[in-house]
Amino acid sequence: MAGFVGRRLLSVVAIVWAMTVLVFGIVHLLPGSVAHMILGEFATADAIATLERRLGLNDPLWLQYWRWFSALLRGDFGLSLTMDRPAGPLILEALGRSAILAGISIVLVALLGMALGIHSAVKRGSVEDQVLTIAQYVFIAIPEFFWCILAILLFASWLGWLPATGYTPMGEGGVLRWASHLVLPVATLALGLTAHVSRMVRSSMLEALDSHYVLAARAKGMPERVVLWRHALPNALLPAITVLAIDVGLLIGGIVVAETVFSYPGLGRLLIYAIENQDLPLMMGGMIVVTAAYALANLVADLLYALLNPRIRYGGAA
Amino acid sequence: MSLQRRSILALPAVVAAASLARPAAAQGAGVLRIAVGGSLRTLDVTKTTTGEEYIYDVLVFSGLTRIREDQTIEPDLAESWTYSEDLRNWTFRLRQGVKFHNGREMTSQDVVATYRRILDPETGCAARSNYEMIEGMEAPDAHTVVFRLSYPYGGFADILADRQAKIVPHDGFDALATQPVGTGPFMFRSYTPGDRLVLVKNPNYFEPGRPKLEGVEIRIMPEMAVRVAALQAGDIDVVWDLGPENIRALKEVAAVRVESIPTATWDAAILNNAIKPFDDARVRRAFHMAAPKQDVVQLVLFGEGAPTHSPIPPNHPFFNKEVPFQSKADVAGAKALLAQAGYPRGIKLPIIVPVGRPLRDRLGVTLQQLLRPAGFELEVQRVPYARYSAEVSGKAPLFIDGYFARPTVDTATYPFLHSKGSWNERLWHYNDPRMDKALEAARLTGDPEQQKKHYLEMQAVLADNPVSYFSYTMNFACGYRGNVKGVATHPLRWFDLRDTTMAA
Amino acid sequence: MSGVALARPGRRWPASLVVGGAVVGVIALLAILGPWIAPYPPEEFAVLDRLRPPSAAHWFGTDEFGRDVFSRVLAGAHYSLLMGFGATGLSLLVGVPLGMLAAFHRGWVEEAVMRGVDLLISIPPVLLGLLILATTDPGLGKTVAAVGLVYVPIMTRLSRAVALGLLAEDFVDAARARADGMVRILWSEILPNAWSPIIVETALRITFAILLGSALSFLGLGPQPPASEWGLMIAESRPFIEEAPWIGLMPGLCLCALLVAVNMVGEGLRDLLDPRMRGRGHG
Repeated sequence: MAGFVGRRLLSVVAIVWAMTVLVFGIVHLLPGSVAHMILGEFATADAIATLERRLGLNDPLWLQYWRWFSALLRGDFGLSLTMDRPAGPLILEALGRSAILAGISIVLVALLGMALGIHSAVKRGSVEDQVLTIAQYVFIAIPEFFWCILAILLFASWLGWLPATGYTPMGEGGVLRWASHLVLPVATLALGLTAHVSRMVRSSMLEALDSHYVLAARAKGMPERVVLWRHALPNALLPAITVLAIDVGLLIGGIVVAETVFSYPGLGRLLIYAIENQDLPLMMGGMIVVTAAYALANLVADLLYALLNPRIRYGGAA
Repeated sequence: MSLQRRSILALPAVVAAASLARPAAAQGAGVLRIAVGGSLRTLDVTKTTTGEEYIYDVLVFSGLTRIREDQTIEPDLAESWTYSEDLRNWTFRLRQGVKFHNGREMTSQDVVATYRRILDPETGCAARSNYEMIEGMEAPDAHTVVFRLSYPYGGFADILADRQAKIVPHDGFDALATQPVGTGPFMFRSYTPGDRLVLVKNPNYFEPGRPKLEGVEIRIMPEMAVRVAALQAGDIDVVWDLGPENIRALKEVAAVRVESIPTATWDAAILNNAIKPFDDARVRRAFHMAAPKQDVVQLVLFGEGAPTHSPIPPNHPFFNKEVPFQSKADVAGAKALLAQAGYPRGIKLPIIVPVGRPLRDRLGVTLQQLLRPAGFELEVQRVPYARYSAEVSGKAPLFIDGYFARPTVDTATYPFLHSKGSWNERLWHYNDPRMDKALEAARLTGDPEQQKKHYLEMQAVLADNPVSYFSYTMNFACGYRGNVKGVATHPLRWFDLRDTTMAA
Repeated sequence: MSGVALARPGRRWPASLVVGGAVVGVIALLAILGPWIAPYPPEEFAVLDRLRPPSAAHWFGTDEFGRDVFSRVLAGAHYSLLMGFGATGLSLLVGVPLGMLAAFHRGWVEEAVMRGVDLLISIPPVLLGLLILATTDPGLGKTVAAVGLVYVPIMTRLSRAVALGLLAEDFVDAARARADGMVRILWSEILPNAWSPIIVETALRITFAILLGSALSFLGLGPQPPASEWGLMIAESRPFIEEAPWIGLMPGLCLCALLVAVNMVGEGLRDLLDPRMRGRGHG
């Protein structure tokens, strides 16, 4: 197990490193220049040349990469080119806020998705199940950006008030105030993914309920509760975990949109800013963090999967 | 009790959590919350380039002079000034006892260091070329600064009020981007990129009794609909720079006051005079004949702006009322001109618009549609602003761009339209000796009547030999909560909040 | 997974496939017929009629230029279809041969292909799309290519796994014994037997390709104005959301309808071709 985790961690590192090379290469294909961006509309040719020289943008690519990479090894993400401040703290703060958003969303998605999925499966064919199934079909298909539009419409034009947007640290306004800022983005992020997960859980739960060991357990006269919780559920969880890991990728996409619309100062917006302004250190740092988070989420999913695998759990018992 | 209970129970949990938060948001009475769309990039005032940053510049720093809402100049850090007969030696007397936010006294040494820094190409100050006439500076004593100019310049005191020309401590350049220190009415407290900039009252501001607010928060909210909704909900107090489409709807909201004022900020379709097809003045004239500017103002700005001939806005005394606007599209005339110029079958080319600027997007689509009957087949291409200077400005045959108001008529016209102007080569490569003569003459005279004559002439030249399609000068609008008093919407798009109060 | 799955009796067409297929068919038909049946030219301005709510004359209302939203939605239908089907088609064209190649040539070819796949798959799709599109001028073709590229690694992995299983079968050994070349073996022995899981995966992928494509358009990285791609229409409607919500709602609802239908087709196909896979994840 430890060896497996070690190898996977190593591959995460390798992937993140390869990504830095990829992004570095892509960015230098860009025709624009960050010097233009920094100087804005007033830039003159000589001012741009001076700035490019100062930022070392005229050095050979490998030298620029090495400068950046060796600083990174020392834990230095470099200076944000457009903001004139260290990129590291900027990224870490934004990451923290996005992680809160993503963490709460994914927990909510997992709990709600499983609860709804199990409920549907147990009540298979009932009106509730049918309503939920249709809702799942619809909710999976609604893009996050359209959710955001609907949410604004609902609050701004029809209800006439708006839950808080932006962000307040917990230390400043208390937990309630802090939480109020999360309502809108979490809601938009969680709706579609909950549908996705619950749909998944429902069908794997149905399959488990029809499987031979559940039938056998029932035949032995076990109470239905025990059958459900001890036998069917663990099997139904496996695919749910895979789906959750996949959903982390979708979540990252959704966060970019939700943060923008609801003015939430997270990593998604920082990355968009960095890409639009060609702020290389900021972009590289942000991409490293996102890629690593994504790869780690997949790793955790694989580990959970291995831990919960029914062949391990039921291998000897059946 | 029962009512309260019911209302909480009746609403979903989402709503309950959010409404509990609202009293907390209202606690900071005396703190004015201003919503803007874009993040501030840098806090180094000398390097600022965006409208959002300029709001901050004016609140935290002071210049030698300042521009009031009615566009007149008044003393700021300079108490008074004199100039030599030939307009080349300017002497400024500084206020005594002005303190930076860190407690140190501001002296002539800081002024000289500030302008040295602006003029140093290594700094990368966006406004450097505006001060190219400064040849030398001296500080005879702690409260006197003398500027020597390389050529006579009548508007020198005016341009010192510009956004980047704020006085910073000579011994604190390194901290400007992270812990900025100025002499303005508000002091920097914290900045979270993408979220908010927090400023607090400067208790030692050099004008006693000012400012009246306890603090200012600049909140960054990218989505206009969210800004407007938050204003209606009372989550913020001011929305900076409303879109023309929001003005009509907001005017009906009782708790909100909307102010829309004409400004000299302009947008244009830039026609590159150096390359085909717009190297031919007939093609440029045909472009104007096919797209009546009044229609463009209606389509793009919903009437919140005015057609113009040049960067001089129609409400300015120097605007030339004699030059007519095309009232109706003259398709036949435009086609005939195109045929004369050698394009009997019309012209096909891309029109480049910047990404993420809805008004300029709309201007691009509008022109595309209006010009099609006359034989211009335009294909809209959106390019990020980051790539504009490298690929588009001064190179592409046709693109949409626009510029903020400038403090003086000279700075708004000469750099753009003079054949040697710093902007000319980066936009359209215009060259008309009549234009150069008019602009030079206006710059060298101190007499407003003479200046007016030259600027009217300049606009007449543009009608005869158009450089580009100046579509309009646009209004600038802000929305205020009803209890916000003592602030006027500023044509240069920032806020003077020294006398602002908020009634409970 | 383990045990007894319920096999479907016979080969009845699943209801979701029929309903979803019908809806997709109708939308595709409307996309093709759009230019002829649209009540107004989709780009024509009508200043006097702008921001009008839905009515008999304008079923979906009009936008800020007075353009008929219904006509624009019709004219924009083909973009979403092209992005969904084009991008998945592209990922098939590139991904399947790569996967098969990797399965056939174990060793460094497989290593190179699969590590590339690992790299691409570990960049979140929206960011990969953003990066690709930030480097080039946006446009329909590039959006399709970007979305397609995002899904290449998934197709590569899948077809490699399928092909690895098949390469161990007897009939492949027979072909090898005949000294058939790689292309011939892959083409006539492996591919015909690999289609079923690949089709199922492809069908499920289309929903996400449409979603990603419209999200990129929403961010301004797709077809350019005045094109009426639905995601772009929604993005452009934002300033008017209070005054004229129909400008964004109508294309949004159409997009949702298309996505639901495509998703139903995908799940129906899976039930039809591969009943054991019922309910497996996609994403």
